[in-house]
Formats: sequence, C-alpha cells, structure tokens
Amino acid sequence: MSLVGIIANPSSGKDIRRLVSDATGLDNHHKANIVRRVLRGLAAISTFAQAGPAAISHVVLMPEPAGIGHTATTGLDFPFSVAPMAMPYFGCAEDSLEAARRLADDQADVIVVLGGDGTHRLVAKACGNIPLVPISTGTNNVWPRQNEGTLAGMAAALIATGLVPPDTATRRTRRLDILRDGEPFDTALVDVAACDVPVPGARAIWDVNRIRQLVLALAHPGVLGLSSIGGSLPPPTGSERCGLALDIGDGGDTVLAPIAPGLVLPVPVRSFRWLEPGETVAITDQPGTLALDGERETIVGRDDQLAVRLEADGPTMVDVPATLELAAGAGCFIMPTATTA
Amino acid sequence: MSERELTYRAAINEALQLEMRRDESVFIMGEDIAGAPGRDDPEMVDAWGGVMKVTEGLVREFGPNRVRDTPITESAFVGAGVGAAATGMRPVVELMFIGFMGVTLDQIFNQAAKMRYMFGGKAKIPLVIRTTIGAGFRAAAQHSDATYSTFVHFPGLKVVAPSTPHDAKGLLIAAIRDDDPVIFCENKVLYDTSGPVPEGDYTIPLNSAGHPREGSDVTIVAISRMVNLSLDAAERLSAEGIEADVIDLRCLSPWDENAILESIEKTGRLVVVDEDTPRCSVASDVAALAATRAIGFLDAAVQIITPPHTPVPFSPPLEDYYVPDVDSIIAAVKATL
Amino acid sequence: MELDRDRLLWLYERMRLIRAFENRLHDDFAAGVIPGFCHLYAGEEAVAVGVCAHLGDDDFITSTHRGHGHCIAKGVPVDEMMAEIRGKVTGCCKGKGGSMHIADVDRGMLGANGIVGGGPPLACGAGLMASIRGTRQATACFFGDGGSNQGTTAESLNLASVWKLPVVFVCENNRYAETTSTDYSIGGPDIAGRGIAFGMPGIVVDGQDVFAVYEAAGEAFRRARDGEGPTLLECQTYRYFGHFEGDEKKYRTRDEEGHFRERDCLEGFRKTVVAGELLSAAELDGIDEASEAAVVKAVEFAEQSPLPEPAECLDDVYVSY
Repeated sequence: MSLVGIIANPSSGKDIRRLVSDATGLDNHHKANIVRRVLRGLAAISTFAQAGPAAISHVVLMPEPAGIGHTATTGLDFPFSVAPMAMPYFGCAEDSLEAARRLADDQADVIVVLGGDGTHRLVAKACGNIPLVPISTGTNNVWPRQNEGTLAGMAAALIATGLVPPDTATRRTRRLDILRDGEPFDTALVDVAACDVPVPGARAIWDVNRIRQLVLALAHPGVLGLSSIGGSLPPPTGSERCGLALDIGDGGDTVLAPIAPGLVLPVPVRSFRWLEPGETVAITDQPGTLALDGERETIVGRDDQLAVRLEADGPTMVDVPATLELAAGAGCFIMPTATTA
Repeated sequence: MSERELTYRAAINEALQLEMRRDESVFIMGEDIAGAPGRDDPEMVDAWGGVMKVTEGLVREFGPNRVRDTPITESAFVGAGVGAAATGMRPVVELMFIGFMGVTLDQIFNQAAKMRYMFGGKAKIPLVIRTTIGAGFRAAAQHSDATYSTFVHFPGLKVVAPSTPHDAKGLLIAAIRDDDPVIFCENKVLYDTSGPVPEGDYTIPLNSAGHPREGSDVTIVAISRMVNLSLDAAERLSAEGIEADVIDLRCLSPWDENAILESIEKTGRLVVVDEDTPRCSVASDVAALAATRAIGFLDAAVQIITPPHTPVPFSPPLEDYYVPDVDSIIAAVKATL
Repeated sequence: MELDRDRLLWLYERMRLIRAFENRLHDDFAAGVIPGFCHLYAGEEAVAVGVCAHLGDDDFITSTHRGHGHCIAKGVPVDEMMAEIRGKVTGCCKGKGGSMHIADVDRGMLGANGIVGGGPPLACGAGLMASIRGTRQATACFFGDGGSNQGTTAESLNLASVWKLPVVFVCENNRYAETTSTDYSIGGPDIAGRGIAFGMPGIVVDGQDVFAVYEAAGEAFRRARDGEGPTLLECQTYRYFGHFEGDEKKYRTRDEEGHFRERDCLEGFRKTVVAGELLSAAELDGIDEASEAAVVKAVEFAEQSPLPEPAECLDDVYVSY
C-alpha cells in the first residue's frame, strides 16, 4: 500500500520574467496534460508490474482554483484511488507548503512536483525525506529537471512501490538555510541573493545591478538563473564544484551569465569563496531584501543579523532516467506471458 | 457647381478621401477595406478596396495606418472605433452588412449611444459606422436586411440612409464632422447608380429630408432605394394625372418632421414606403406622426408599403416577392384616392 | 519606476482612500441612502492603485461595474464621485450615471461599465488612437474573471495583439463572477494563459500586494509605450463585500474570506514599509485619518448638493440633435 502525492502549482511559470526576459509561459491546460501523463505512467506501472503489497493504493493531488487535477483526471479510470487532498486552498504559494506538510504527515512514498525552483523550494521546506520527482514548469528550473510526465509518473511508481529501491536512484541535494540570529527560519535550494530592492514586490530578481551578495548551493554553467553567475567561474582547483559565496560588484572579474531566458549579462564579481556544507555566510548588505531561489522573500532591516548556511541534507530527488534504467535492468517492464498474446 | 456625375460608390469614396485629407483625426477601418493586410507584395496592395469596392484607392493615398484592415472581429473593431472616438479621433468604421450588428450591438447601443448621456454630457463620440443595407443581391437573410429602424430606436445614435450619390457624399461628410455617433446606411443596390455630385466638400444637414418631386395629390415618404422606386411610381401616376409629392427621408434620426407634416397638409394623403420589416419600423413611426400630428389633414387611411414580416429569402422569386415594387406603390397610392 | 518616498505615500494614500470610500458606502447603503446598485471594490485596492501609479492624466483606463477603485486611483475627485453615487447634480456625471457609470474623460477615465466585457474593445480604441497618432499614451483595461469569459475580451486581446496596441489588460481575478466561482467558469483552466494564446505575455500577479502589481504593471506599461504590444496581467485578488450590496455571500466560506482578509493589501503595505524602514507607522496613521476625513467631507458635499431638476433628463443625449 503506497501513497503518491502530486503538487502542481498553477502559478508556476507565470511571473514577471515574461515581461523582462524572453521567458515563456506554460498554461494550466498544459500542466493538466502533464499531470494526466503522470497519472497514466503511475497507472501503467501499477497495473502491469508486479508491485505486490507495496502497490499504489492512493494518489492525492493538491487542490487549487485552476482545477488542474480535475482536468487531468476527467474521464479516466485508475487502478488506485485518485482524489484531491482534503485541505483548504486559496491559490497562493502557501498551498504548496501546506500540501507538502500534509503529505509528510501522511508518510507519502513519493511526491511528484510541477513547478520551478520556487515551488520545489516550498515543497522541500515541509516534505522531510520524501523523495521528490521534479517536473520543471517554472521560469528558473535549476533544481527541477526537465522530466517528461509519463516517464516521471513511471519513475514515481517504481520508487513508491519499491520496485526500484529508493536509495539506488535518488540523491540527496544540498540546501541553504537562512538564519536570523543564528536560528534557521527559511530555506532555499539553489541560491540566496541579497539585493537592494526594498520590497518583495513581484518577487523575481532579474536586475543584477541590484544584487550585492549571492550564496549558491549549486554553481553549474549548464543552468539559467542567478546560480549561473557562480557557474560561470572555473571550478576550484583539484575538487568538484560545491557551494559558493560571491560579492557582486566591481573590483574583480566580470563573468557572462545567463540570468533568465534570453538574458545573458555581464556580472561583475568582486570576490568569491567556495563553500563546504556547514559553512555560514553573513549577510552584510543592508537594508534590502533576500531573494530565495530567485524570488524576493525576506526584508532585511538595518539591524537584522542574517546569515546563510550551506547544508548537505537537502531534499531527496528521484533521478528519473536512472530509475527507469534500473527498472529495465531488473526486468520490471517485461510483461507476463499470458498478457502479451 | 460642376455637373459631373459620379456613382453612389464613388461619391462615398470621395467623401472619405476629402475628409481624410482635411482632418488627420479621421481614419477608416473595417474588414478588407484595402485587402491583403500585412502583405509586402505591391501587387497585393488594395487587393479588394472593400467588399463593395467603396474604399478602393484610399490605402494608396493614406497608408495602412489610417486605412486599417481589421481581422473579422466586429465587436472589437466597432468598440475600438468607439474608444478611439472617445479619445479624440474621428473613426469611420465599416460594418460590412447591417446584419452583422448582431455580433457588435453592445458596443453600438450600450457604449457608443449611451456614453455621452451616462457621463453627464462630458464625452463626445464622433464615430461613423458605415454599413450596407438592402435586398436584391440574392444574398439571403443575413446579408440583405434594411434594419436601420433598430438604430433609430436607440437614443444617442443618429441614423442616415441616402438614396442619391449627391446626398451620400454630403451626408457622409456631415456625419464625419458631427460629434455624435452616426449609423450611415448605404444601399448596396444603389452603388452603381449615378447622379450629379458637386466637386469639393459640402454637407447636408443630418436632420434634413430630400424633396425630389413636388406634387399635390398624395405624399409618398420613402427611404433609401424605395425613393427611387417611388419616383418611378410617381412618373407612371403622373401619366394618369396623379401628382405625388415625394419626400426622401434620408435622415431617420433625427428627422425632418416638418417636411412630412407640411406635405401631408398639402396633399391630405400619405403613403410610406420602407424596405425595413413592418413592425416597430420607421414606416410605422411616420404613420404615427401623421396620426398624432396631422390627423385633421388626412383624407384617407395611411398606406404602408414594406416587405412582409419575414427574414429576407434567398431564391429569386422569393426575394422579388419580398421587396416592395413600383406596382405595389402605385396600388397603395390609388387606395388613398 | 523607482519607489521613492512620494510614490510610496501616494500608493498608500490612494489605497486607503478607496477603502475608506467603500467602507462608508457599505454603511450608507445599509442605511438606505444610496439609490440603485453598488458594487464595492474593498479588498482589491492594490490592483487599481498599483496599475494607475504608472498612468498620467493623458493615459486612459476602462473599467467595470466595480469601478470606484479605478476612479479614485485615476484621480477622479471623491466629492464628485460620492455626489454621483447619490444621484446629485454635482456628481461627475450630473447624476445621470450613478455608481456603475462614473466617468471622467478629461482624466482619462473612460467610464465604469455596466456591461461585463464592455470595456476591452473601448480600451483597444484608446490604444488605437495612441498608435495612429504615434504618442506614448497607454491604456489600462480592467476586467474581471467574469469578463475574461466574454467574447469581446477575447476579440480585444486578439486585436490588441495583432495591432501591437499600447494596452495593458488587467484581469482582476477575485474568484467570483457574481456567485459563480472561477473553478466552475474558467476553461483552460487559466486566465493568464489566454494572453499567451493570443501572442502576448500573460502573467500571474499577487493582487493583494501593491508592490507586486506596481512592478508588473510598470514593466507592462514600459512594453506598451515602447511599442512592444499588450500584456495580460492576471491579478489574483478578493472582494471583501458581496457582488453587490445586499448580497449575503452564501457561495463562499467565511474561512476563505478570513484567509484573504489576513492578506489585506493595506496591512501588507504597512508591514512591508515599516519592516523595510521606508515609511513610519505614524505617517501611515496620518494618511488613515486624512482618508477618513476626505470621505466624511465627500459625504457632506454629496448631502448638501441638490438633486437634478427632472427636466435635466432630456439633456446630454446628443451634442446636437
């Protein structure tokens, strides 16, 4: 008996970066279609593979005003129950957080998430160790991979049923804890930017001239967004890329970084240092706002003592291609003889 | 004044051209009023010049910014005409057939017609909607109506329906210069008719009637193409010694009540000829005017000649039956004698 | 674009004035002194104000039946508005329009509109004027989630996109068209996505946060004025009162109302600017008092104003007839 949660954020991929960059939008009908494919993938594995006692019994969806779940499930029968989660919902970011919290309480076996870095961050804040199957439908998609819905659903089923042991096809990602007076109060998955914009406003931060400090859990040149600023630097000698703290401003090298879709900008990096898990970076730029995973969240007052700490035990991500490869290797997809005729 | 002749079509085209030259705020828009919008190929410029070729050539002089082909989206472009008028332009919008008012009526009667009133007189909507009316093209029910009475019914709109090239030009120039929304009804059967049209600009008051024939025996009040049929009928009646006084009700709202009343006073007999359907029509309005204001002068019951209360049919014998003809006008006149 | 002190004060002052105005109408309607219908804007203030902050007197807005907030944000004097709503001859429409048709064309306010979906074609017209004349004037077109289902809105999105008109379409998604929720009425299921379908950016904006609206609208108007064409902003918001005054709101839960009241735009503004040390609480308190006083004064003006003479019914149909 296993439980799969699906969190599809109706607001992902719809922020102001469509106006300030070449980011495009993903309408909710498209998201409903992805959820439908996820469900079909889950159903296929549930029906044809020998899932045994860990067979998927329930799939629950985060409710939201756009009715993505309803659109996705209309007219379909599934070998498991499919229902919206019984929770209040208001079409706000808090919905994703609340859904993740409830799935953690209900000990879901896996959560499929449709969203960008921002959505995954909210889910990660509350989901504990439940493996996440990410499907990128956001603007910045550094953390979530571009997984196809059907395959993501199949992988989610393989992990949930234990057909593929979770520890073989998932990996622990890093996270950044935001500390006030030394106590963590918020989390980011990819990047934390201290900027001099005074209000959270439209959330996204795209004007690199407003950024003073940047702390990255992930710095890879193959991604879009603020973490690409770190990703544009050569990796540390003799070791792999890890966390990174940067001061943005004149006085050092200027790197070319793809900040948002279609927006490749020169960014002056005054200084930087590579971080290992457990290291803390003090936020010295005040006042302004802290942007978490590309979205302004927290107002930084003149007297606030804020810091960012890199942690090794972030959320667990399911590697969809690896999961499917392991399943194929184990013969999970070979159907019983009787049904192949 | 020159004695040159122009077609009804060319007279309208000339009015548009003169007003666009005179006033930068005048622009025209509608479906395929130039044709092939967005194509760079010079061979394709002005591909149609309007479905009835009324606007032909204007895009070459004024360019696509002021001679604006629209998508087929009557609610949006008629409403855009209203919005542009409210913000200082003088749009002339072409609604290809009057039947298409069905898809844009809100923008005409709830927005254009009511804005000035709702806003306490603090807005003006100098908008002209040019549209075509009239049966005779075998174009069936949705492309042949003459339902101008619908617009006459709405306070806030002015409605005109010229029957001659001369009036078409003068009334259109007046309509464009007028500060209220005007529905300008062009009878498509008249486009190829010709008549004397003065050079240069001139206007005809939007509350005036034409008086193309004087007579003392019977008043015929007619609208648009029905004026032409009435004049033909009057010629035949004259041969029989009956002289008809023909009033061209070219302005429907406002209208020249006095022209009608004075004629009735003179003749004592009234025949109304209208191509619109009979109920709640301009024809019944004229009859009501006679009944309320001229009953003492009437020597006979008012005769009303209109199509039957049906949509316009397609098949030639059906459509021919539908449209009033000269014989029916003559019969109506004789019924009053 | 920069949120300087004056701009911050203006944002709060306008939002607060709308709130005070609407709360007073809510009370006055219950007291039976307001003729006709009244659709109140309380709760949605951040949208009108965040959008209109980018507009001057020579820019335009089209509005809805819920138009008081748009009027105040666009600078229509509240004295004249209050007089109009009470049917007084000193009203901005001389008592001929009432709550649903308040307009001030000289200030670019092209009218509240009793027809859902009536405004978008008009907004295209104002945009077309600017486009033909080559000015940098822009137009904001307010409509609701209900209006997003009207054909006129779809046609206008398309026409504005085809002609790259300087129009910003602002959908105030307050989740209910009369009693009908967006869960039921919006196919797609996505209003912002309809912008994308017509070839313009369609984005979702937190309509409870004036800063979010301000920033998004700022970029949208920049695009409009620079000739980059229209934008659709789906501002997610909530009306505190019913569809009209007297509506018992049986179609929504008190929990839901509570949730949105907790995310009130005025409270949110206060928290943000105080935390960010941008304005002081005392300054905001001063605006609160001034707003209440302005509304009291507006009511006095309206009460002391004469009713129109009955024969004024006949005026203002035409410029000339």
